[in-house]
Amino acid sequence: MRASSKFPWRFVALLAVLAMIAAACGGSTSDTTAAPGDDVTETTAGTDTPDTTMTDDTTPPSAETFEYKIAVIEDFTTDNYWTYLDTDNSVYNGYLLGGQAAAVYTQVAPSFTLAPAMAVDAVPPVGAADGDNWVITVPLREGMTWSDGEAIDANDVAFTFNTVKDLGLGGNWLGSIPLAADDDPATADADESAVGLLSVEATDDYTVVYTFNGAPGLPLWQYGAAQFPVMPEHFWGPIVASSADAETFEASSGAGAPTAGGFTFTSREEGAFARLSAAPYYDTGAKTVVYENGAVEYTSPAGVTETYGGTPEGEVISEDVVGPFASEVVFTVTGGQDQAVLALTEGEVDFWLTPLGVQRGFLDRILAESDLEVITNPNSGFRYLSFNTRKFPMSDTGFRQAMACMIDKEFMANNVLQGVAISLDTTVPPANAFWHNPSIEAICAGLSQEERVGAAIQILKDAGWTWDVDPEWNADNLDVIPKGEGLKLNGEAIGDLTVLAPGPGYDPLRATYSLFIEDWAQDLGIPLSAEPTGFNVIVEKVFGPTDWDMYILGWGTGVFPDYVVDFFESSGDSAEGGFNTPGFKNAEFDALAAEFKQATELADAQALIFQMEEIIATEVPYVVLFTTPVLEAFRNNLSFPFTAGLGGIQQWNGSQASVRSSQ
Amino acid sequence: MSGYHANAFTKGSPLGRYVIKRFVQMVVLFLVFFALSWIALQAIPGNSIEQQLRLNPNLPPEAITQALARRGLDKPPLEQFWLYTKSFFTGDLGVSWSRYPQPVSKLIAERLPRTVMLFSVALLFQYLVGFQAGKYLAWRRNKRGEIAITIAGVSLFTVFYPWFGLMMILLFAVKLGWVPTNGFIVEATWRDAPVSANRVMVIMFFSLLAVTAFIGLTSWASSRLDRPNQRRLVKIGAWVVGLGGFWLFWATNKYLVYAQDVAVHLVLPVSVLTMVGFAGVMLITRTSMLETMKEDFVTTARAKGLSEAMVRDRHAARTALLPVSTSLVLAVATVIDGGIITESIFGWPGMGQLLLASVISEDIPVALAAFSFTGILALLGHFAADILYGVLDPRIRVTSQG
Repeated sequence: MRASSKFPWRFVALLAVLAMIAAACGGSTSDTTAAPGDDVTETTAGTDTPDTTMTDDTTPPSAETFEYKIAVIEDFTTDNYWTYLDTDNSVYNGYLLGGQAAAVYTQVAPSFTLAPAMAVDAVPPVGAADGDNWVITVPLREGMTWSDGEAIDANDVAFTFNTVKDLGLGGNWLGSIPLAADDDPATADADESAVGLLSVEATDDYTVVYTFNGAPGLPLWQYGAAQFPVMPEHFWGPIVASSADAETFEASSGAGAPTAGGFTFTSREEGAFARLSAAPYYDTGAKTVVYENGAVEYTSPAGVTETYGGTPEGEVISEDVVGPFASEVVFTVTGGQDQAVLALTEGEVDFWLTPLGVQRGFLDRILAESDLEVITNPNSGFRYLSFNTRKFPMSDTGFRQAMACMIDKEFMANNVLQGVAISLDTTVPPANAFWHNPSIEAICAGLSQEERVGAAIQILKDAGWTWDVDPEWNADNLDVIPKGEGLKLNGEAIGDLTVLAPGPGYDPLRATYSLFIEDWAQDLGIPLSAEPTGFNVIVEKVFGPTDWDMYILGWGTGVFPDYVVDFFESSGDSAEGGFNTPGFKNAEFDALAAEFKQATELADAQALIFQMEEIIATEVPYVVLFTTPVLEAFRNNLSFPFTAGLGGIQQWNGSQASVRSSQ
Repeated sequence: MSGYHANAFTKGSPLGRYVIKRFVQMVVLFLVFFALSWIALQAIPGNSIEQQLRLNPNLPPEAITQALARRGLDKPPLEQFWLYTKSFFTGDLGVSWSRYPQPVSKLIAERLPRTVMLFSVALLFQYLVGFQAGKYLAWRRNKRGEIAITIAGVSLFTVFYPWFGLMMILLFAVKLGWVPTNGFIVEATWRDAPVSANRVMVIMFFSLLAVTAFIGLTSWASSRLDRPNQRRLVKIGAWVVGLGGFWLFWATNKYLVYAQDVAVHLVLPVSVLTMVGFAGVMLITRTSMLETMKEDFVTTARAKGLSEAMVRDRHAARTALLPVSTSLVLAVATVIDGGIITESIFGWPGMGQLLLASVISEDIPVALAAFSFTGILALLGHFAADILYGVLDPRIRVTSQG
């Protein structure tokens, strides 16, 4: 009895009741978001002529609906399109939200041909001077609607511009909307003479007027402001009005935002999945045919056919009827590549959407499944060796050319890296056909190793270099014996040099390349050593002080090649905040770059890029080394309007509105 | 006894002084930990956030400057530290640099329930299995069973965990198809769910906690009963009422289908964590039991003619529980930082993955907040363990007083 009286029944009962109450108070309110919306096809830069696998069914969408699942290895971080383009500009957010916006002009997959979306004219009007300013008036089409039925019009274009300007949004908004520097004395250090956009106004519902503070060239207008994403004012206007600042605005949810494409963002469970649902789309049933020469034939849902990008010639590379055909697109966040492959092979997802491409190590597992297909496409980027042209001996063109001559890219791509890398000679790759200069050939291309050594020695001798011990090719050993010693230019010897490259843990391709470059340089008597270095450390070094010799890194590039200007224009020296890491200074290049920025015709810009590429190939501030293919895997019941093109399917966020299923 | 305990905790008492001293030490230690964590994160070569911005040729310089200024990265490091410290200790964890402008508290609130759910359940199973196995080993010394369990436990304890995890996925998820390959929910179940997964996990966690606490406390309370039949009856009753209540609660809950989905996803990671983790508890228990069994009071208990089960469970095991309890209290601290490897292998989006991503991207506000939570819980765990020892073990109390 004594013990029983001490037994804490009341405490236990109370605890149980409290716990049940706590559990029950979990509540029933929903934390998931739900929203209507949809998307429009819009992308970035260039021209490309790939071959393709097309859908054989070009009928308009019918009641045949299906859903498909896409694996992504990283989570989405926002459902707000404005935030996505500003601070949360990850490719994964792009897969989910990238199709939401409308645009005045856009580019057509897979050729990147510039074509009108909201605009009436097939090509962007050039505009005219108005006092000190430059004014471009663009008439817009009527009848385009957001997914909620509201008209897409000029007010939306002006609203988007004003929101970015007034709230001070940044990130890629400023890349898309090149604002003119203001006259505020507080910003006197800004380049107020640079051409930029002063205003965008809707003079009526279907006419929009762009005012620049000077004549804009292709980068600023046709491939800039004419393509900026347009957002619905009737939805975002009240949110903007109630937002005190950019932070508040960008922290708001985009749930419920109408969109201008085939899908609306429906719901998201953080860390698990996100859904897009088919939505009313003004372009449903439209047919787009892309030809080998990049010309586009567009037939509207009403049956009116227009042609953009020239007269159609050659084979059809893509034939696309706009859906959406799928009722739902479900993104599953797998958290890792192993999990994504498992999900794919186990039938849990139908497509793995990744900007990195499927790793070759996974190919066997994927191809072992009979219902999976893998496609490969060139990547829109390149890896390169950069010389610090501010320092001796990298300041000598002959030295750089000799180094470039020794680097046997074909040997590296075919024998060492064995198909994982594709040899590349120019910053604009061949897959970017319109902008690629096919006449450029790498220094010493096609030569054997023996011939390369001979050619490199000759280049150095011609440039005035001498050796204490000349390097010689030894045919018996198939090697340079003796290696060069005491290499000098006008009596000045070379100190120890280093080539910084990411370590094998980060990128085995570049790490391997750096070791071969070290070896080839030492053959010539150049005391170069490869130094595996953390990616962040390399970036910090080469974008800051100029105390480095050479490095190997890579760029992911867009298709419109204005990056060539950014990388080599002397005013963009990285020591002063630009992207010209080699510190390359060439008056002829600078003049061409200035002309390119002012060019308004594609043909003129193309000719200028060709000339700039020739200078780069001769002066060699970069040795472009290689690119990597993008491998993509999907279930073969899915069909895409094209499967070949620069960057692959992921370049176009998966072309969701055109994906069809054979089942 | 109760009067003694009350006195022990008064401010002027030796134990009270000891507690205050330990608390002050804990605060100082946390400040040092906080500063060192910040320095370590700052010392990572390069500035990932700035480099991401600078490596985008589409961004004009003013956009980069603006983005850095918004995050406070335009200020000198010491000023950044001072500003962050001020806001941290006023309850504002700041905003994420890599997911700007999302508040750090929001990110942690999203991830914490998932990690706590997974690792607390795993911890519970590790300690239940480990303690029972340890007890068995000590009691069955030099038997074949002891050797077999020890070899199995230690083998699992020392196995290369990522490989083992993947093998378990291969076997149970891919080959047998009994459990999902990864993730914590299935989209098909949740697409129109009226509730978030986090909310369901919170409900699951508290209902499990309630049942565990109910059964544990009732069982503990039953040990005060003199008659074995009464004790047995109360224990069985506790299990029946606890599990019955748990079943009743969920059977009538409209979120049952969602909880089942989470539970199915918990099976494999919890099983794997239990398999690789129970041996540690088992060995602690075994050692502790062996030490306890040498004590005079165990010999006395046997001499009194008590049954072996009574001696083992009521005398030896209870005393042996002390180091195990301490180990459990300390292990609780690791629950909130999750396991980076576990969460990566099983695609479980919790604190571990958040911590890893924030360190890689040098998102210092998120990383520091995650580290700080772990640090605070670890310190509180040690603090609680010290107090627990002082209260439970008179020898330690005497030492502390001395």
